[in-house]
Amino acid sequence: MGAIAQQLGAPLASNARWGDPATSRGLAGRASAESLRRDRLDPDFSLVERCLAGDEAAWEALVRAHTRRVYGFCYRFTGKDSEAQDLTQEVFLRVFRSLKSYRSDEGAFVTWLTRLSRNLLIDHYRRTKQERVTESIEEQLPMIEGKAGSEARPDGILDRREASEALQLALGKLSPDLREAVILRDLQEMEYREIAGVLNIPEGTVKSRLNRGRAELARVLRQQRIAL
Amino acid sequence: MTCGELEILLCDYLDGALGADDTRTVESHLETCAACSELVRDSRQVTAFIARTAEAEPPARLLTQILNETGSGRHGRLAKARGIRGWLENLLAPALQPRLVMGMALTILSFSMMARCAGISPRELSAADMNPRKIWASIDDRVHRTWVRSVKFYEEIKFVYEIQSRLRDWTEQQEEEDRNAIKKLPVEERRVPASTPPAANPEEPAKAR
Repeated sequence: MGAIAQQLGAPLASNARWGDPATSRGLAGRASAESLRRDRLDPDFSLVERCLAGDEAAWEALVRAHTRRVYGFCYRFTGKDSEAQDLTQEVFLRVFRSLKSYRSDEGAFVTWLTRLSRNLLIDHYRRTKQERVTESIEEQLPMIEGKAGSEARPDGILDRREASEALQLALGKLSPDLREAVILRDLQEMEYREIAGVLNIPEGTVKSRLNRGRAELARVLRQQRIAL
Repeated sequence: MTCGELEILLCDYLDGALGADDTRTVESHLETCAACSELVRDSRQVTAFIARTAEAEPPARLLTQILNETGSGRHGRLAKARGIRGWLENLLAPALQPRLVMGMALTILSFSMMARCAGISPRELSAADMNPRKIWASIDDRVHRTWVRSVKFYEEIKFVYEIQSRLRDWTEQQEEEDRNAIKKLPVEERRVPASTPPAANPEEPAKAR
């Protein structure tokens, strides 16, 4: 145990230096104990440290562990598989380039990763605003009507895949603020505190957006004649 | 409890994270407020609906693509260096791509070769040298001087000089021969060439008479 603490002492001391200028070398012992605690809490911490030491296997493990989460966020936010794939790649490329700027004392790796993904998604949302306006007028409307008319079952109960598609359409109707709150809480199952960290807003605002987002989602789904 | 207060507690109420007292307060409000109980019902139904949906599954090739994209050598290795060195490396990373460096090196090489051929020394250049009139004058002057120099160089080649002097000799010899041939001819012939038509000579009609 002592050997591990010694091994982790160096990266931790450097993190502590960034986090709090008042932390001196004398506090290294306490810092390394804290690092062990953090390491136990966040399994990604040691992976990130190994990545920073140039370990390619650790990088692969990190990507493998988070691809589904990042892709899920991108897909639910954009509603398009091809865009979600491109954005997921872009997210990991950015992570790859800026991994050394991640500080474990600023929060869990997942929060940092989700914040990075969210910033990219918002950039993408702003960039493609004009295209979406045209698309929603020309394409999306008949598709929704067609779905509601021909594919919906008489009892209105959908299987998992159909429910997923219906949710996707309904999420697309939400404003990005409400959409991201619902995705992060109800699909990604993040804590309110973590979501507040990702979106850089108070926890109370997260909850109020969630309430509004869920109510809006219920209204849109009912409009599509989908039984809740 | 007001509707606004309920909204603050709603998420925790749905999660079952409220204390017994708060739960009782919320529930007694819900019994009297139709709008709030509808909000609670909608939220419950939506979260249950979302829980029923299939998870968005990334295609299998996505992981491979990401690893290829971030693999060793493609966009640089996982950065080890921190501090000023790491920062500098990051800053210069796009400019240090092999293709870009090769392109820059070739451009510099070709420009330096052009400058050398034109006899321009980059150290002596100043802002005033960028004046178009000055550039034109210097090019004109340089072209003129190069032309003169090359003509002189050509004329000074031994072989050319010999040919030129031989040609000059031949020309002089030819002229000498022509002059001698004219001297040998009789005076009349010298005056009147054979091809001259008789009517053209004013003395002939008088001679015949």
